[in-house]
Amino acid sequence: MKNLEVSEKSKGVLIFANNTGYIDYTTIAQRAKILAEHYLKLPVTIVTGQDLINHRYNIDSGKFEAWHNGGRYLAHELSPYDQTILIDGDYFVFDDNLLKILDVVSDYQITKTNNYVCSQHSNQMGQYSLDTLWATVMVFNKTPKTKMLFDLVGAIERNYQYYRDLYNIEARNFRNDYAFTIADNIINGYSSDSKNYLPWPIVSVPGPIDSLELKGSNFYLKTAGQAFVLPKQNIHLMSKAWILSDECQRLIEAATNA
Amino acid sequence: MTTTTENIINQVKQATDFQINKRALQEKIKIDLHLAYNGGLFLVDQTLLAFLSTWPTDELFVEDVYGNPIKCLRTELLQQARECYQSVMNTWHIQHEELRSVRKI
Repeated sequence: MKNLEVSEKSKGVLIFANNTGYIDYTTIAQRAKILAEHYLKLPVTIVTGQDLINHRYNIDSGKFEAWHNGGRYLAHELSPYDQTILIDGDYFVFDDNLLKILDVVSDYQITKTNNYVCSQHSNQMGQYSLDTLWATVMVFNKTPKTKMLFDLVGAIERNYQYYRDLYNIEARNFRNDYAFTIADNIINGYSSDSKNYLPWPIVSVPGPIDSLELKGSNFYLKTAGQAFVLPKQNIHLMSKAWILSDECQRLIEAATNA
Repeated sequence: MTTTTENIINQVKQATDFQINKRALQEKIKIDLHLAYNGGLFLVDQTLLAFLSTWPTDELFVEDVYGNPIKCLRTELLQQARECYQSVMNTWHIQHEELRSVRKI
């Protein structure tokens, strides 16, 4: 049943990308953009220019490196769309399931469950803390509640040390996942509300990738010592080195020309 | 390391676990079985299909995956649910058969 009295909302995808001296995040975002445009048939906007100085462990080099992951709270203000799918640059879209969320989201929905392909992982921010939500994928409407959420994420980013202590977070570096987890907890009366969470998990490949190919409707993935055949689906690839490789470029071409 | 040992290691690395791949496919299929209808999101399974097929009136409220009651036109939702189910289950069958034959990559 379609309500013809409701005006059509603008819809699109937003990706944040900030280059560091080590990793070309804008190229990563450009690659994610090609896939999102192809599979979702929506316009994609890349936001760049945030300069929070932070560090992350690079799974490819095995070293801590500069990481500019701040400013995600500006997504609400900067998004040119009424309805926004906000994704990390390393989240590659290979189907249109996120469009279903645009039809049902009231304020926002964020990822609750992240399934790692090759390993188990703790889903808590700390031993005595909340379960982590994943800012990797988020869908939101521009509503007062969503604006409050993003404003709160900004406040948490600016006062991260305070919130880190308050929520017993183990990691020292600022992570958007943690900021959104805390903000969601506060905005829902120090509780959780299932309607704010995507109803399915995201799939992540957490470590370095030896090879990843698309053959027919399956991904053939090789990591150090393991091999998988995965269905073609949206996938979070944490190896930036692989995303920047020629093999990734070939996979994108194969997927978009199929 | 001898060449034979290297070969064995390489073969082990190329081996893929059918049960892990099968579970990954099952999870993906479950995502595809979600259907957005009238502001609600439904998981199309046998329970929903059987319920909609047997309910006596054409207008009703059905609980969606978020626990919200959604106003539905029974025949309209049933038609969409059947199409979704048929399409996704066919895909699952084809991909499952493909998976069964893959032991090494």
